[in-house]
Amino acid sequence: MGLSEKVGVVGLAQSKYGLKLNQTIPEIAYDVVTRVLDDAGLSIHDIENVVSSSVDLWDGATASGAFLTEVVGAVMGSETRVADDGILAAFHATLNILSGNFDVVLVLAHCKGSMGAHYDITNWVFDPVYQQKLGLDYLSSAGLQASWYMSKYGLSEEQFAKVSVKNHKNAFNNPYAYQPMNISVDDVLNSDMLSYPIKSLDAAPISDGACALILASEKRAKEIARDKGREPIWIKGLGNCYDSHYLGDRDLTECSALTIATKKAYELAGIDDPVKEIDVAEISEPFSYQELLWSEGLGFCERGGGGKLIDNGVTEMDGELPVNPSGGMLAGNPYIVAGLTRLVEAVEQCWGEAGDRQVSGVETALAHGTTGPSGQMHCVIIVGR
Amino acid sequence: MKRNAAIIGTGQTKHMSKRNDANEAEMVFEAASRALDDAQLEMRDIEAVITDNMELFEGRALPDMWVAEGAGAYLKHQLKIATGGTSGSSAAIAGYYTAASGLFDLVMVVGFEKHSDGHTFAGMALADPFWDRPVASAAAGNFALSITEYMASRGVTQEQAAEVAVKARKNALNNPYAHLQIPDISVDKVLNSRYIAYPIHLFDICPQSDGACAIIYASEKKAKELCENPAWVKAAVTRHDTPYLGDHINRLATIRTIRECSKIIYKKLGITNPLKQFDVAEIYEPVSYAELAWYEAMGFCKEGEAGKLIDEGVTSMDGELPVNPSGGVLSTNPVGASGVIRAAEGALQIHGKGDKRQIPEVETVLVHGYGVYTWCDMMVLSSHL
Amino acid sequence: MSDSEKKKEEQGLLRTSINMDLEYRWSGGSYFTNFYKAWKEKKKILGVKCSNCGRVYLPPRLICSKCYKKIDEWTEISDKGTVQAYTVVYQPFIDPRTGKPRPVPYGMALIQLDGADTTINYFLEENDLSKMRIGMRVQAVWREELEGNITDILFFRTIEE
Repeated sequence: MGLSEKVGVVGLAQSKYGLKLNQTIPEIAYDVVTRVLDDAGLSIHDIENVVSSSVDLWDGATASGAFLTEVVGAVMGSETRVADDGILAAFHATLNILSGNFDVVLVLAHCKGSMGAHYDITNWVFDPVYQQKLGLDYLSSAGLQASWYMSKYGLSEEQFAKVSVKNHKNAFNNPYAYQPMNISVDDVLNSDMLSYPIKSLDAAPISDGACALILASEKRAKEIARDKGREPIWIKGLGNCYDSHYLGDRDLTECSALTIATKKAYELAGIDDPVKEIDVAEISEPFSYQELLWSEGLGFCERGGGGKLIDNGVTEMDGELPVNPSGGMLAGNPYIVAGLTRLVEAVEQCWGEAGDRQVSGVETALAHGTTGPSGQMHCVIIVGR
Repeated sequence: MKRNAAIIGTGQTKHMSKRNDANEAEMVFEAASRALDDAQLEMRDIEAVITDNMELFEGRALPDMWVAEGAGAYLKHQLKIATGGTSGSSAAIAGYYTAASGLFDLVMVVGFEKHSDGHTFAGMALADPFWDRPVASAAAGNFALSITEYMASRGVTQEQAAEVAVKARKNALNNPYAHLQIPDISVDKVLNSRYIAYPIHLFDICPQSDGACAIIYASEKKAKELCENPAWVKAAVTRHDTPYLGDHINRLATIRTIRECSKIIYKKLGITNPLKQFDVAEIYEPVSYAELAWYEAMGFCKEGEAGKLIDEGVTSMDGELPVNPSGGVLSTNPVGASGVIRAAEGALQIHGKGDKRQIPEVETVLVHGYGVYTWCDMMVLSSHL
Repeated sequence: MSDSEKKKEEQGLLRTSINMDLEYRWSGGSYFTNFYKAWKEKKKILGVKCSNCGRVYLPPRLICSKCYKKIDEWTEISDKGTVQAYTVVYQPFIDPRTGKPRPVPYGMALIQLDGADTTINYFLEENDLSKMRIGMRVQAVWREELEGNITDILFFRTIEE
């Protein structure tokens, strides 16, 4: 069973991520919108629907999409907002096109992490009845998950650190990444302890930015891409899944939600052996251990095999399945935007337009997004030529 | 190729000012369970969930994480929509796209708001911090301004607005779920109630409610299998506008978003006489005067004749086009749920499940959502494809 | 269940509260920065004008939504204008600046300042409904020492014109 119709990506753009203290969200978004239209060779009047992604508590505003309406060309236009990670906005947009109601949809995600107190904000994700008052936030819940994961499978802080080393180094090839760094495992291990076993170089930095892509129905996608001398990159498979909210209800070392999302995406895309059939993967890893844990959920190795994966260099740029040539979240993209950035990077790879971070011969790429405490939500989108 | 989908079940909580007996997730579960009972389905039958809520009101960063299980999204696809007051109607439309995408057959949409859990003064955060936050006087304040413009240009009187308020609360007496139950409501009672902001009397404006509402969409094949009289979606349109209150002179009278949505839908469906061709309308009226302005904008009457329409009882339960048999937003307003309630109340009229508020022989229903100064969603439901 | 039994059961239900104390730093961006600079330094109100359709927007913003074009032209706007809509607020809503209820009643209006195509929502000095009408002329009353934000205008005063 495959997707009943094809939906293709025809344009993309992203900010140079970093601290943008003097730019407003509309300014950051407008920059990305003008560039994505240019990339696709379209004008704003070609856009029939906009799906944006932002979260009120990060933006410090109710109905945080309201100030975006003008810059995304949605004044007297059709627009909606997903209040979650940008990869879900891409999912929503895909459904809109599959339903037959729209042919060309603009997808955008923005976040100014520098505006508010990031981890304090994440405390407000936890339910107020039991968990919030414990002071849980994404950092401490990640610490819990990491230590459980480590002890269950005998993984080490060194192995987690290797992910950070890899991704920070990969970021030198990515003109959009915020913090490329040449660091060693020791540098990571010696960095400040934030919440055992997570140290500051194990955690994604706070940053600002936006990214966008344009999706189109099969016929329109072919026309639009052809005018730009290329083929659309097709959505081959997608899956999204939520886990329980209460940390205590979950086995944090299992990726129940990710496994289900992955299965759906692979089934639609006809993938049986991910390591062989996927040429490059962009995974959302706000904390270094998560790249390993999510790799297991994505079927890149068996349960508990995450450590061996990084030890054996499988996910390095010259490995069998490069993961995060962009540098991932660790080298800096904002929360909320990160999942859509992964999709943008995956499409760049398929187009062969990823410059110095290009993996050779990419036919199929995987993008992954996650939010919620210790990865409560996971979304996987497979794209390909 | 556009696919079809229909609403096959609805459920809502008894809306009230304080649901002390249930937290947000429990309230969502209540509405979702009732919708499942109505559609004669089990939670496990649902494949995708769409939730919507104005998260800042309850101080939640990502409420979809907390309510996931209550909404039936455990180990399933979920998306959360938030577009201000139109959140519910955006979610209802998203539900239609999702069920018509070919990827999901049964989709649950749940809108919810627990105003007593928070402070709608968080709604002040809708205003730009550099511009109109210092003067922000809640929805009542900004409506009051627009109403004086509207009254001056279209000649409606306080009495006529009071008649709208009376109609709504009288209708609510037939609706066991409606929040406000005011058996002695009368034009005098409205006019004698204190001013919130001239010319809005206390009884002219909607309450703040705790409540949730769920609707279940099915793809065409499933809808025909599972439901005797599905409420088919015949058309759905969204139009947004600029974010500052002062951007549109006489915004209630001109409200170009509603006019444009109506124009598009009426053309698509061959509606030339809405009073005749619609059997019921469920429209979003946060304040009594707004309903009068919407009559004109939706073409129920000519400019300046809205007062006449209400005077002559055209929109009463026994009139030519009953508007808001449910009691409307004027009687029940959990903001995140209000848009979904309009779709639910429209659908249950077609299902014949309206009980004491059932209008006889309903085939075509107009559903409308309003928010953020001028945003508009409109949908038409029909008993036949 | 009797009413008193119901009340007793209700009282047994738990509620918990958490104070939300989150600080945000918003950027004014280039538009509001320019705007408040002219405001504070020269007591000037600036709007932006679309070079394509000529529409003058207040507050200033990045693009003209009608033309989907970046707005680069700045134009001076008077601090005198015409009331398009008015109200008197009787409900003591919370003032977002202080977190405390505002003293009521207070007058508010949508004012089209001379030179702008949009209106601004602001306080009136007047709070007597009988003295308000659409079309009346008002002028801004400024604070002595300008701070560089919208509240430098204390309110708009009715003027004869």
